[in-house]
Amino acid sequence: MKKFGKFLANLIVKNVGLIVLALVLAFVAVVFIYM
Amino acid sequence: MNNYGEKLQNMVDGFDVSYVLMFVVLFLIFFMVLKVLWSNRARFLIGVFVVATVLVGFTISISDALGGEVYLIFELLLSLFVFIMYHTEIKRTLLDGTRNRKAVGHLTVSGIENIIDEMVRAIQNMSKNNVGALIVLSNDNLPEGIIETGTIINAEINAPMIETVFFPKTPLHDGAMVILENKIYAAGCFLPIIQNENLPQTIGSRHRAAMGVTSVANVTAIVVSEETGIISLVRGGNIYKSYATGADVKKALGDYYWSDQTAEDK
Repeated sequence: MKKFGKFLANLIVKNVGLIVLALVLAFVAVVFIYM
Repeated sequence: MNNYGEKLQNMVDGFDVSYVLMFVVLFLIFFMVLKVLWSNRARFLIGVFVVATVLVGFTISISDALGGEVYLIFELLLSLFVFIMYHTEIKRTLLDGTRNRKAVGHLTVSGIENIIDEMVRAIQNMSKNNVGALIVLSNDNLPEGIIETGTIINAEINAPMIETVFFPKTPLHDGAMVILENKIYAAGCFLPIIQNENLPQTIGSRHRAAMGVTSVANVTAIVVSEETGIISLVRGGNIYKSYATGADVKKALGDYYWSDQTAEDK
């Protein structure tokens, strides 16, 4: 579990930009799908 | 536009848990797509993906004829297209992620320096004498099928041993030598040959095999040409150094040995 947490933290830190972009795109997509 | 505001209002009014689930699923898919594109330096395609997502979504949302389902299918197909386009790279990353390093011995700083020096010496000697060689620096992430085609040696790394394996007419000289940490793990291994029609005829089967194995596994290969004695370094399916010097080989070996596993021992 500790190893997975470390892996997840590492993944987030290394990919902050991509995560933000994916979050924005997912939000936009949900708005378009349910509109 | 009044209609557009109304649609937006209806969406906010009808908010439920399915919105959140859809958001999570789409976030995961988009993140994977963006990660694959970013890792493969396809920055332009990231732009295309973002613009297509926004533009098609906006077009469908103002259209009365098409619903959100069409947009969802479009997004899934677009993501699938990216995954299919980069399937080789995805396979390589997945294989690398499941690797399980074998503890083949404790590596000390002086031990690693000695191994690097021995390998550089062997490669330079083979280059000088036009002896063909193909050495793969494995992270224990090569497909098992490749290892099975060769012979397990599990020998100490030293220059005479490497040169003996690649000496012409010996049984193991024709295949690839697989290095795993501080051992010559196997030799005489047959590698997948890259199928690329655009490669010049001058690139021989040894180089093609190096390109093939580095395109399916995240490894570095060192090739010594039998005809010219030129040393090449191959990674990610590409020859990134065509005329490598002893210093280049030393750097490649340094990158291999001083990476994640040895950092723990330092």
